[in-house]
Amino acid sequence: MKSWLYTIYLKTRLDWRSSEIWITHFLVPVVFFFVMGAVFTAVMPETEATLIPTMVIFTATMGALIGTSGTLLAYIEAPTRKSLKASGIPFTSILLATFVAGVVNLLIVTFFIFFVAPLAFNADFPQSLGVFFGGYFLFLIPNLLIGILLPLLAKDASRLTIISQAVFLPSMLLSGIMFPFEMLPTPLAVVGYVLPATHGMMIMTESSFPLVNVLVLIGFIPVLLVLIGWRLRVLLREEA
Amino acid sequence: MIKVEGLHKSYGDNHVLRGIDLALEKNEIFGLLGPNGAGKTTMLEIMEGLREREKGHIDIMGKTPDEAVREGILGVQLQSSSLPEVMTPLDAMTFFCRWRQLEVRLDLLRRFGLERELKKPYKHLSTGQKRRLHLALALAHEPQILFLDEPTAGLDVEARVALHEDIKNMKKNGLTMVLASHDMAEVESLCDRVGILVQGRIKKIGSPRAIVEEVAGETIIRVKLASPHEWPAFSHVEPHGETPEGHVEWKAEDPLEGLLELLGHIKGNDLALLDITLKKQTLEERFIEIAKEDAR
Repeated sequence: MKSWLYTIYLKTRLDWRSSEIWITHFLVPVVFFFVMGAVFTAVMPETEATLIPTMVIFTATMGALIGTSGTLLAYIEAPTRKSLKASGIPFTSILLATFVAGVVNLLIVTFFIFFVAPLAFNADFPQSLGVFFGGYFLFLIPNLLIGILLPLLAKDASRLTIISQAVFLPSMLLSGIMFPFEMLPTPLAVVGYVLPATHGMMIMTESSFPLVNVLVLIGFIPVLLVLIGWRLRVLLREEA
Repeated sequence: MIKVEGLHKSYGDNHVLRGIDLALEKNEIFGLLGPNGAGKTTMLEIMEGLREREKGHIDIMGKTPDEAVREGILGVQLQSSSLPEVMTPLDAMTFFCRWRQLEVRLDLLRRFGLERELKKPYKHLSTGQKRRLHLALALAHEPQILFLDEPTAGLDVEARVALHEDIKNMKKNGLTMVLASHDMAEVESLCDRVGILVQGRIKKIGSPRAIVEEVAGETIIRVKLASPHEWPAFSHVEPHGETPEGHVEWKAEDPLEGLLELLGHIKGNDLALLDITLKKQTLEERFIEIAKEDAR
């Protein structure tokens, strides 16, 4: 148990030393928050009501799909993975540590946005804190699992960039954080509906839990865990 | 200590290992030599529990390779090891020791000259420092058997000499080692026994000296005369070719008899001798010869 906890602690510390994590988990989300927060609230004052969920979803999506997936790739590449295995360190400990470190990092920025947005942009606090944070975690879990799955699928940096962007951009454009989801043409709305960000946005802007969105997000979790397990097995079998 | 029987491994149609049998004794350094693609790394990685075998049996002190890794019997320095760029030697040693439930082995980092690099990110370590770090990590849990795959590849002469000293000291401390290398001189000076792996089979096995002496009768005598000469047939030497520098080479079963016969001929015919040398085959030459024999 102590070894697992130390792995989580170490991965979190290593993430804080990583320029990639600083850029994708902290710097870009905070800059985006200040710039777009100013633009959104100046051009469309009604966005004050949804500014916090919008920025939080942007932060978590960028952090998980681009930052977390990128740092995990360094461990997935064969020389590091073999070094760990030869020393009796289970790779699942790295996956778990990556997940927990992602939660810690993204929560820090989420709380920053949560407290600064009302002061800086007169943003409204969520109608229900329970629904907001419940929805946040329901969205964050599958989102980080996707961030873990992507490097297992890609296996190298160039492919990972393409795959990450292929999930990140639709999450930004089709989830309702940039444009109201209801205004999307049906084919794009269908694509948007299979993204965790869409359901996260739908829950976090409500005052009670919308059952369908909650169930969809919960449903993502076992599916993604099975896919991660499958990719990990494939990866280890290819190597053996 | 280690027993390998009938080890086979294929990647699709490529039969990399075709029935390896091997037994290693306690406290010996066993060298694995072979040309590129001979299967050295595959063989080591199967023994280290990193790859699956297709057929065959591996017994490491009564354990399977996976069990031996789990129980800390094996220490492994891979040919291409890596760690995350921002991890420091101190982080790495702490991390590896935590998983073995050990105190952090700072003594090993000091022993391998990394005391000034404890907090230096992995990406800023030199190739030699990285190699020494991985060796320190492999030794952290005091394994009984150490696998070294090309341990001195990419090292400068100074680092190479230092690592050779470390390997010799580890042997003195009772460690059994398996070492794969391209460096014949390294294998010849460090190893008690050598296996030459060619096209998935161990073609020769024995001490470096024994492998070379197996062709002891094939001492090469090189002769250079002042002018060209038509040599007759001799009973104790047979022609072996000519060098670009104009030496005529003779192969002799008994170097003394061969030398006397050649010198007798030179003196008897009043030939002007410029140079005469005797040369034993090195392990490297023997290795190339064995690899060539197999290719034929």
